[in-house]
Amino acid sequence: MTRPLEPEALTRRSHLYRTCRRAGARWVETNGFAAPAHYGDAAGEAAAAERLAIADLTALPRTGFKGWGMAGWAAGEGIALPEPNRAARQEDATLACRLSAGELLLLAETGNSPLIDRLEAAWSMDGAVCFPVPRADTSARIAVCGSAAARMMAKICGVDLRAHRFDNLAIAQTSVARLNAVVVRNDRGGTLAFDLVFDSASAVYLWDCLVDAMDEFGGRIAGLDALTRLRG
Amino acid sequence: MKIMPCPLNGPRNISEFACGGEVQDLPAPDCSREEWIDYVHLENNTAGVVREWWYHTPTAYWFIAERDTRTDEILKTYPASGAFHGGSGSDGG
Amino acid sequence: MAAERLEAPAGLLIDRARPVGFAFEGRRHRGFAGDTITSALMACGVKVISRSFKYHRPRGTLSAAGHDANSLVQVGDEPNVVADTRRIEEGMEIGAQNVFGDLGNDKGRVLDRMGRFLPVGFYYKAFYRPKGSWRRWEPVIRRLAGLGTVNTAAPHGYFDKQYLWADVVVVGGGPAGMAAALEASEAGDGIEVILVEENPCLGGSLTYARFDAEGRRAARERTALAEEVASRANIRVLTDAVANGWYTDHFIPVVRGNRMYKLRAGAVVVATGSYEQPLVFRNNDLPGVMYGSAAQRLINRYGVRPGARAVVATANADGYGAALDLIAAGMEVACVADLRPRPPGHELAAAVRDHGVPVVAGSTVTEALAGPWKDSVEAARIARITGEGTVQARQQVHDCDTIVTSIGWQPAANLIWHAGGRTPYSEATAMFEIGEVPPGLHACGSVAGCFPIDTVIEDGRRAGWLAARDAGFAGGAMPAVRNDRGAAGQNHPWPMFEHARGRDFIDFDEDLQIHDLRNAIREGYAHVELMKRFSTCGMGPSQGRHSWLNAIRLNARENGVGVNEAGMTTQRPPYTAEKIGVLAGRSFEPERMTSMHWRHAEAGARMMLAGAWYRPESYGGGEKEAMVREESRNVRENVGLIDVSTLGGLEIRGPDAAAMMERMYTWAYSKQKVGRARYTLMTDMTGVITDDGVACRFHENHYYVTATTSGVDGVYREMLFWNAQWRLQVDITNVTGAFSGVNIAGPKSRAVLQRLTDENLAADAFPYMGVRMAAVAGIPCRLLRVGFVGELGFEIHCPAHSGEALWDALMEAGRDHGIRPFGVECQRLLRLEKGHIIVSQDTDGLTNPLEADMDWALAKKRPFFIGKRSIDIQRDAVERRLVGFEVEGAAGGAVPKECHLVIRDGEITGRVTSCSYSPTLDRTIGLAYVAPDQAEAGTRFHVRVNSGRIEGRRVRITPDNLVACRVVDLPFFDPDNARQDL
Repeated sequence: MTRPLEPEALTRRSHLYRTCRRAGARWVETNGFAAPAHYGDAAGEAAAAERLAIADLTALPRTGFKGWGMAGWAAGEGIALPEPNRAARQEDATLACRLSAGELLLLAETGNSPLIDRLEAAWSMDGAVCFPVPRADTSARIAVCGSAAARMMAKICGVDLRAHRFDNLAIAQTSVARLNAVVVRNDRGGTLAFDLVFDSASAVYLWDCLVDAMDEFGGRIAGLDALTRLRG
Repeated sequence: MKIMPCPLNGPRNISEFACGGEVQDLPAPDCSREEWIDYVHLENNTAGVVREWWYHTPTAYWFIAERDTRTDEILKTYPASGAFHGGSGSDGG
Repeated sequence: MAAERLEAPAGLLIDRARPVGFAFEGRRHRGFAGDTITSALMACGVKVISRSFKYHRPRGTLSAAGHDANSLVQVGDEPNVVADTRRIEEGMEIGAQNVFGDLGNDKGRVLDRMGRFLPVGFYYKAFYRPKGSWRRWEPVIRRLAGLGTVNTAAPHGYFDKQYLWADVVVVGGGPAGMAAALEASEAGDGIEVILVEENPCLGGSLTYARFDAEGRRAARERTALAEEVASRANIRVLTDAVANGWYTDHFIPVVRGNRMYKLRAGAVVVATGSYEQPLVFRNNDLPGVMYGSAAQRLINRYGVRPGARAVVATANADGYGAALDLIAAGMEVACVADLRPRPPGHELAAAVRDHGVPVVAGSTVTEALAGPWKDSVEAARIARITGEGTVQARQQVHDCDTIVTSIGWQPAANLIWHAGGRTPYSEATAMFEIGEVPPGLHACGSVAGCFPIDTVIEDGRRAGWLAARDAGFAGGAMPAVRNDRGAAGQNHPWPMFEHARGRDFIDFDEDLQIHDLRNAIREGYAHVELMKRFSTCGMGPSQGRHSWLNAIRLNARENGVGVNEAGMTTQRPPYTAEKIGVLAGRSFEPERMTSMHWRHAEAGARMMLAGAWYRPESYGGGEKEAMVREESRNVRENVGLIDVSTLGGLEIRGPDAAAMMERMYTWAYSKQKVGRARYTLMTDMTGVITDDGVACRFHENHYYVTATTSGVDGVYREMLFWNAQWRLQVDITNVTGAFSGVNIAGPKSRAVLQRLTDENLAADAFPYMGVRMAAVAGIPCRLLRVGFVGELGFEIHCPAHSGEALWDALMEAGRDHGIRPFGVECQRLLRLEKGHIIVSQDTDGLTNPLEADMDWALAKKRPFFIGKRSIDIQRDAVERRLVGFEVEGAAGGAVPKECHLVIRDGEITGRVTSCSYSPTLDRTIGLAYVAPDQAEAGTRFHVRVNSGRIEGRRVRITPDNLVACRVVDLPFFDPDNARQDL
C-alpha cells in the first residue's frame, strides 16, 4: 500500500498547504505541488460551490509576459488576444488575461497547460520585445465560486462584480481586502466564479479574510475536484 | 469617496490611486542652479486646471489627469503616451 | 395591559402577542416587541427618561424620534443610546445617564437652582485663572456635565462593511421617497433603485400623521405605496438603515446595525422629511411637553397614550391633526391655543371644534406649571400674543398633564448640506428652503418645503424621474407637480416667548435658554459661528436639529439683520452619531509571510513586523541579547542561515536596461560584467538617499536588482514614473514575491552549499560579487556571492513556492557543520561590525550620499542620474557626517541608543543612528552623525545618554549623562575583508 501524498514530500508548496491540511485536505500531485483534491466530500463541496466556496488553485500553472512588444509576440505565438482587462479562453482551455496593452497573464484550468509550456519554451532573451513574469511564484490563486460570490466580494472589494455588471471573462485589477489583486470572472459551468491572483506572500492573510467574509453565506472550502465537477 | 476615471481600468475609487504631482519638464542638465532648485523644491500650486500624474496602485499604471484645483473636478484623463513620445516603452508596470 | 396602552389599530409597530421584559434603573417593566425604550417606558407611566446635561433637570421625550438628547440612556455597556429609536429586547438593562443617585432623586438637580451662577461661557471664565486651575476643575465638571459611561473593558463587537451599488438611491421611505423610488424604477430597463429608511418600516409621516379628519388617508396611502414598492424587483429596501452622510460622487455610508454599507449611487433623491421644532416658553422642557408629531408617534406607532389631559399649542394644521389623535386616544383636550391671529379654515381644525374643544386664536402657551416633584406638568398658562415674542400679562391657566406643540418644521436637509447645497431662509414661509443643489441630487417632500400629501407624492415622482435621468435612464415625460407646495402657513416666524424667570429652552441638549444666546451675542460672539462655539448651541448630540432654526432667528434679530445675512453654520457628516466600531469595520491589515515562515515558528523564533512582513527577530526562548550573541558567534565561527525573502527584487530587462540603471542609480552599470553584482544606491531629485541594494547582471540586457524590504514598492513606482516620460526600451517588473531567499554565511557556508549544487563554488570559480544561475537541491536558484555580514556567504534566491524546501535542504546539509538560523537582530549587529549602513535606519529624510561617506558610489563623469545635480549643489555645504565610533572605557558601561544626541559645548551636533555591544570585538560600537570637524578618526565626542532638558538650543548636561566616544575608521571588523573574500 502506498502512503498518501503529503505536501512536504514535494519541493513546490503553496503558502496555504498548512491551512488546507488543517481543513482535512486529500492531496493530488499537480504541477509539482500537492494540491487539495477534496476535503473528504467532493460531491458536497461541489454542491456548496454552487452557492459559495473557495478553493486554493495555487498549484495550477500560470505565467505572464510583459513588455512593449508583447501583443505582437503573443499574436505570433497564436494567442487570441483580448482587449485590456478582458480574458480569452485559448484552445487548451488556458485563460489568456490581458492586463494592459503590454502585459499578459496566463492561467491554466488544470494541472497542465500545453500553451504555457510551449510559450515558456519559445521565449528567448535574444531580441526579446517582452519578458516572462514569474507569475507561478509572484502570485497565489484562489477561486471564489458560487451564486453568492459577488455579494461576498462586495464585503472586501470596491468594484461592482455583480453578474449583470461584470460579465464572464471580465477582469478587474483592484484592491481586495486592501491587497492588490487581479480579479478574473471565470465561471465554472453555469456557476458564477472569480479567480483572485495576488501576492503569494499574502495568501494566508487573504484566505483568512475570505473565510471570514463567506461565513454569513454559509461558504465552504472546496478542492479542485469540486471545480472540475462544476465545469462539467 | 471620489471616483477617478482611469484610462486603463475605468472609473475607480480614488483610494486605489496615488497622486504624483504636477506634470513638469525636467530642466536641461546645464540649467542654472536657481532653475534646478525651483524645479526640485517649488510647487506652482495653481488655482485652476492643472495636469497631474496619477498612479493606479494595483496595476502600477501612471497616467495624466487634468483637474481643476478650485472645484476638484477631474476634466479628463489619458495615458502618458499621449504626452510623452519616443522609444517604445509601455506605461504599465 | 398598562393603562396607557391603546387598542389596535393604534400601535402599527408593536406586536401585542410578544411581550418583552426589560429593566429601567433596576426596576422590571414589560413592553411589546417593536416598542422603543421610550414608548415602552411611557406605556408603563415612566415619563422621566434622563437628566439634562448642565442643570440636571428631569427630561422626557420631546420628539419621540431622537431629535434631542432627552432620550439618551445607557444600555449595558453601551452609552448614549437613543431611547426614542432603540427597540427593547428581552432582558435589556437600561440605566439613566448623567445622574447622581437615581433619576428620581438626582443629587445634581441642585445645579438647577444655581443656574444663574452658571451663565453661558461660565467654564471659560471661571476656571481661566489662576493658571492651571482648569486642570483641577475639569474632571469635576466633566463628571457633572456628562453623558454615558464608557466601559473600556467591554468586549469588542463584530463590525464590518459592504459595498452596494444603485443607479438611484432614495434616502427616506416616506410618501415622497416611496413615490420617487417607484418613478425611478420605471425609468428604464435594468435600472436599480435602493430605498433607505431609518425606521423599521416604510411610511414616514404616513405611519403617524393625520391628513384627514377621519384619519384614514395615511394608512391608505402608506399601504398602497408600500405594496407597490414591495412588488418591484428592482427596488431594494433597506429599513433600520441610516444614510449617515453624503460624500463626493454620491458615496453614501449607510449604517445598519453593526454593518456599514458603502453605497455608491448614480443619482440621489433626498426625501428625508423634516424635524418638528419646539415652542419656546418657560419650563418647555418638562416631561409631558412634546411635539404634536411625538404624541402622534406614541399613539399611532406604539399604541401609547401620552397622558390624560392635554393643552395643544399650534400654528399650523398639524396641531389640529395631533389634537384629533389625542381625542381618538381617549385624551381630553382642554384647549387649543393657535398662535396665528386669524387661523385659516381647515378640515382638521373644523373637526377639532366639532369635538367641542375650545380654540383660542392669537394665543400661546407661556409657561408649563410643574407638579410638586418638578418632574411633570400640572397646568399650562396661556396668554394672548401682542407682538414678536411678547404676550399680555393676563393669562389663563388650564390643568393638564401634557402640552403638545406644533409650530413648524425644519428641513432634515443634512445630506444636502453635506453635498454643499444651499438652503436660503424664506421670510414668506419662515422656513429654510432648498436652493442651489449639486448635480445628481434631488430633494422632494417636506425637506423641500412640500406638505400636502397629494403634492408630496407628485413631488416625489418628479424627483425620482430627475434622478433616473441623471443616472442615465431617460424615461417618458417629467411628472407634473401642482404649484401649491403648502409651505406657507406651516411655520410660525417667532415661536419664542421669553420669560422673566427664564427656563425657556432653545437647546435642550445643552440647556441653553433665550438669554444665554443673547448674552453670548452681547459679549461679542455675534457671528453665528462664534455664538455657536461660545454657547455650544447646536453642538450637542442632536446637532441643532431642534435648536438651530430658533437660534439663528434670535441671532438675526439681535444683530438687526435678516436670517440669510446672519448665515448658517456648516453642517458636516455624520448625520447621526456612529460608533467607532462601525467606522473601523472589520479592519483589513494585509500581512506577508515568507515561504519559510512556519519553519521559523517551529524553531522558536520571536517574530517582528517589518512593514507588512513577518520576520524572525531572534530564535529561541532565552534572553534576547544572549540569543543574538550566540547566533552571531555561530555565524562568525561556523555557519548561519537567515531568511532574506523580504528583500525587494526588480527585473530590469531590454536593450535600454543599462541606460535605465544609470539614470536611476548613482553608480556606473553599463560596463558591469555579466555574472557580476554591483552595489546600488538610489537618491531622489533632492539628492537624498532613498534605497540601496545590489544589481546582478545576468545578461547584457538583464539586471536583477534588489531593494530594501520597505523601499521596493517606492523604487518600482519611481522607475515606472520616470520611464513613462523617458520611454526607454526597457521593461521593469517587480518580482519581490516571486523569490524566496536565504543568506548562508560563515566560514563553513561554502562547504554546506557545495553539498547541494553542482556549480563550482571555489573562490577562483565563483569570486566575491559573482552571480550565477544554478540548481540547489534540484531547485532553480539565483546565487549571489555577497557579504552583508562580513563573512564568506551566498545569497540564494529561489522560486517562492520552493522556499521552504530550500530551507529544509540547507538546514539538513549544514547539520554536522553546526548550522543554525539567525534573525534580523543578529544580522543588524553583524553588518554594524562591518560598518554597512541600513537605509532609513542610518539615513533619514535629508541624508545625502556625501554625508553618509558614500562619495565612492557616485558616478563622477556621467552628466545625469536622478539626484546628481542636487548632490553637486550640496557638495560644498556638508553639515554633518556619518562616522563609526566606539565607546571609550571598558564594555559594560552605559550604551548609547538610537537617536541619543551628540553634544558639544551644550549644543547638538549630531545623533546616534545604530549602537550595539559587539561580542566579537568586546567593544560597544556604533554609527553617528557628527559635525564635519568631528569626523576625523580619533576625534573624541560625547553622547548624552540619559534624558535631560533642552532650553532653546542649549542642552542641560550633568556629568553622569555624558558618554565619551571616539571616531574610528570603518569597518570595525576585518578591515581587509579577508573573511568575506575567503
